[in-house]
Amino acid sequence: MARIVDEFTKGLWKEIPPFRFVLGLCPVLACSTTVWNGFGMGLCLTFVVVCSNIIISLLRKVIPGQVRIACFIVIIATFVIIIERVTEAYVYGLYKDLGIFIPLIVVNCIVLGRAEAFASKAKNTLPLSIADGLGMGLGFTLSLTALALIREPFGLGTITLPPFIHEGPIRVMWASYEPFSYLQKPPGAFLCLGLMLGFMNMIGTGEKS
Amino acid sequence: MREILRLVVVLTAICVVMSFSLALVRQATEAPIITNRITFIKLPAIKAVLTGYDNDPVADRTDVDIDGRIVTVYPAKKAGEYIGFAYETEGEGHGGPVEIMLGVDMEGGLWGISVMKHAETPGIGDTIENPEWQRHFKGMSTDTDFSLEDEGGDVQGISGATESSTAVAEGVGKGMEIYEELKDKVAG
Repeated sequence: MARIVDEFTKGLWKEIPPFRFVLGLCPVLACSTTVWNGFGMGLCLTFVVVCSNIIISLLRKVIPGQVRIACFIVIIATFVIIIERVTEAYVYGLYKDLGIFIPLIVVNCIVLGRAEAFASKAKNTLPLSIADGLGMGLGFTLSLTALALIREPFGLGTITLPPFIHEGPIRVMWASYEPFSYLQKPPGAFLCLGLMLGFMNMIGTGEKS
Repeated sequence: MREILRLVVVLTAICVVMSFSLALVRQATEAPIITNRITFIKLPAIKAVLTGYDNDPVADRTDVDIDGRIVTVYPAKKAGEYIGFAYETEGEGHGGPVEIMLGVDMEGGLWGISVMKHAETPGIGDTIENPEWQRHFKGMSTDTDFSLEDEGGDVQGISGATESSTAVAEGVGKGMEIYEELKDKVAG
């Protein structure tokens, strides 16, 4: 049990994917323009990571080593298409905003990374793989949301919540606030990411190096 | 030999199971996706290219068979009379097909065009979304030469996005070619 908790929580801080491993940066930079986009992207990736971890963990003794990557990619791609269709059918606004970045989850290194480094290892049982996927996915969601919480209020002066909570962006800055539209652009994303990495390194992992 | 067989069987089995589940998902999400596409992509485009109608073009839509290809026609009617209609056409862009909605009156004149879906390069080819540029198609007709001005046609190219603007122009031209046939079939 303690192992499961460990595997789950490592993704949330100690090994939080974009900030500690600097992995999966493409959606981190592109989809953190608004809070809902970042959060939604995170949830899509969480779904894919958890589902692919489940299937790969179940099949870990069946998949031959020589064709494992092909098998992983087929499994991952399936879940990516599923989430793409589901978002298009039920959360169209998000589907439209994220656009190409939903299909691009297939090549997100976090997903393949978890499959290769964790779920496919014989010693990691199914519950551990689920915990690992969930932790990594939620860690990724947190990172995107945290970046978006800097980029959106300062870059646009607003915060966008999921449409089933509040439709449309909410203005959080004072009326005369002139947004730094720079923060909404890709270089602004790099700036925020760099500051965040610096900040995370300053606090440290909670372990003595 | 046995080892190779094992590789093939496992990979094939995974692919089969995954494709089967995709087919199921496709079926389950088909209806809401079609509704979403019509309301979010087509409806705004239809509204943008039709004017002066008092019916519901989406509810009145009909499918017309043009040489084995199904074209959906969204009619614009006033007091029950056809005043024009909208239909989709497609151009071959840099990043894939460019889907365009055309609005035409009953004399073969263009009311307007609207680019609905494309995969052109962001920041370069996606300038075909520019409403001002799209507006200049207004008033063109079946007699217009739908090639770029550089090539002696009537359509303004967008500098830096020649391929994308050509795709739109060609798409509109292709659409106008089937205009007469469509008109005969829907409004007789």
